[in-house]
Amino acid sequence: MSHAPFSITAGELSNLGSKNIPDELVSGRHLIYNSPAALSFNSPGAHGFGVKRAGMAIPGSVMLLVSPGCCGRNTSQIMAGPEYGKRFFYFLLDENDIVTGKHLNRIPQAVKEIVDHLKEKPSMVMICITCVDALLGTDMERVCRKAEKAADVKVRACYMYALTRDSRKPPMVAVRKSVYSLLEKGKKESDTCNILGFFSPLSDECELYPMLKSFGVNRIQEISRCKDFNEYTKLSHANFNLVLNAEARLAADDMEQRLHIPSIELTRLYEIDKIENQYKSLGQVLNVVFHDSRYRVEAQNAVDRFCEKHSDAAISIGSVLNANAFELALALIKYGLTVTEIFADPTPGDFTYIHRIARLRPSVRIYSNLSPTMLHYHADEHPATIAIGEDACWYHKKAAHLPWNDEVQPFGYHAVTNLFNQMSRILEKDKKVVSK
Amino acid sequence: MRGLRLALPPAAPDTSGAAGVFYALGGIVIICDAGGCAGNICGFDEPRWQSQKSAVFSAGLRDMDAILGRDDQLIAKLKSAASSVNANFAAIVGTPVPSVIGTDYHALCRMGHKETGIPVIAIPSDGTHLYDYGEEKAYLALFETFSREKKQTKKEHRPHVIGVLGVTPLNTSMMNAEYKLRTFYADKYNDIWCYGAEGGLSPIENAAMADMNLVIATSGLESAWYLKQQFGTPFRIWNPFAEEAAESLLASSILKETDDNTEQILILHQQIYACSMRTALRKKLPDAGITVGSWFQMDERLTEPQDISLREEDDLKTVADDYDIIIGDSSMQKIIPDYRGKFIDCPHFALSGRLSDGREATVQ
Repeated sequence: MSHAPFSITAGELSNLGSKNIPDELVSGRHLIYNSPAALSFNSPGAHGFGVKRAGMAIPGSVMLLVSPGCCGRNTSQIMAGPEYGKRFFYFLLDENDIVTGKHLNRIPQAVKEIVDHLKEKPSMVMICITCVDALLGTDMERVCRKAEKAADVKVRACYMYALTRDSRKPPMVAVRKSVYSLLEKGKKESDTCNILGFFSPLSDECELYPMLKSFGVNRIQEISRCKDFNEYTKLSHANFNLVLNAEARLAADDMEQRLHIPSIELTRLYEIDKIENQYKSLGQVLNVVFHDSRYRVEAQNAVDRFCEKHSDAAISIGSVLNANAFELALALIKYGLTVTEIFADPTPGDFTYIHRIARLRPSVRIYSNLSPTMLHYHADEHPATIAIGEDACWYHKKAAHLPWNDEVQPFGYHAVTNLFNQMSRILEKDKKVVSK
Repeated sequence: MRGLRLALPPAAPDTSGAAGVFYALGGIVIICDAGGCAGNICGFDEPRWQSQKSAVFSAGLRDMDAILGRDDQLIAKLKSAASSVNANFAAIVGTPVPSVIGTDYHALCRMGHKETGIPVIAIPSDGTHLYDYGEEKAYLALFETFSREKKQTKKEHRPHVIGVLGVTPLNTSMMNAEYKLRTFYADKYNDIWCYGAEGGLSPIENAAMADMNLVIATSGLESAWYLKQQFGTPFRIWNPFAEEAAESLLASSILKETDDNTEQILILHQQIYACSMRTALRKKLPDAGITVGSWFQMDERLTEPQDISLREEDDLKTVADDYDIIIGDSSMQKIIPDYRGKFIDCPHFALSGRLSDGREATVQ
């Protein structure tokens, strides 16, 4: 019996290739270890936006969770937040319901009772259904129409189908489509664009805002910045969508089809040269030239300052963070830093980065947060100076911690600048604590 | 409307109850779900999760597993996990998915045992019941599977051992309940076995050696009857934590002010906690009308005529104003915001996710 956590080096994984990923790194091929490091896999909403919280992104909306009690249990955590306190309601299914589906007839009445109960009429009611209805094959669109009629309010559905996590339309993809589904075709405004991908805003300091404004895009809209339902409806006036997270691709496609809003996809990167290339490509598509040198230099300076002082730091990178763990690891290695381990399940698409990591530093070890063997992971055997990502921080209690998982989203050069400034700050702070 | 909750999130479900009983026993616990239930169980209902590692796994079911009923793949995953985890048993905890597709748990247990060589038990929880139901089934399955007939007389072996049923954070709202129980009973018993809470499987295997069992929560009642029937072990139904809380209330100004002693008091908790508190309060407030109420299982043998079982939020709204004082988890105040009596907070983790020391169920 082996009592070591499964791991593989970047070199070995690169040699195996994307078609031969070991079973231990593929979540569908083993039991999922449920440690705090893996929580965001099993329960995405526990740390940030899961389906329940994301489903309420529409201003003034309320949510009715239709499920057995177990699916709504952790919602009290979300309800503790001031903005969500009185926006969650539950329709609990019993044994009979989950077998016969009889609850479906009572949903319109439940929606009506919620609307009657509220002092202010909600802008819409989002009905969140779970694995049970996935298996029953419930036609939620029909149920929503009936509920709209009964309660005289807009009703849509979102699907918390954990069973479909590995499908083409996993829950966090489907919910993005749901939250834009109320938009109706509107008059196009040439100086307006939407940023899609996140349920919280980009950092105010992100260069994307001034760069877009520099060539006449004066209104940059994000669902998380919409103050009310009226502002939300104006998302349909955008001239184009900038998609910053691939999980929003389906929503963007739907908006292109229904509202004729085309989209351009950008990726969050931490390699400065790649960010520069990406902005060049965006400029070509939009037929403009971005003047990004100021932001690029700022980012490079932050990197240089850190590398000068902390080039010997052993860095552990997790996957519960605002980055692709492999891309971030590659960027740090390219800057000359020592990444020792990565906690992430690689997808075939990640091999672009893994092959390059393997060339530069083949000894980097890759672990899966989800493997049952992680019960045997002991941080003392894998010392790290700094842990980046909530999961890496959980493993490395004694390292300097940078969760890098804020709700405000980092992007572009500013993400690099901010990341390295924060890394410098926490290592300086750590040194002060040690010297005291 | 039946099933509609306008104020309170759902209480801890049977899945969490079952998993909580197995948590500290050193076995492999498989939540037979797609992931979300395991996230709820550990991320919210299991306060030991942050500090105490346990082999709690999600089956990671996907749509095709559910549609095709690929039990063989689940067993292969169990076999693989068992090869890297030292476990003396495995427990499969049911969720809504296997319930809807009609998973044959007996077959899973037989297949699992055959492949791994360790006993495999299954709890047919489905997420629609409450935690006490899951705990009850888990305790019973453990005693039925692992408890052995005593081989020596009690006096030869371990004199004055008391077994305690119901010691889980969901029941006690405490992380140190075992320690406190030791303090309560140190002078009366040589040893205290908190079944499921510590010591691995050993106390359960040797349950026949206990001189007596103490049942502190309704979820332990069925097992207490079982142990009495199988091994003749007598049991007492009493919750010393409730007694302590009652004494603390009586000593404080909260109940002292109500000195006419004729007030109507409603105690809302799991039934044995509430009944124990009632008994303790009656010693000092003999004329008060004290009613026990619960969202959870109510055993008829412990119920007085005035006691109430709550199912819907309206049930509490309807009766709240009949009482001068309500003692219960303060989260219930959301149901009765206009209640004019005195509401005394008595945390119940299974309702609010709040420990009695004020800590809340949080992640990291």
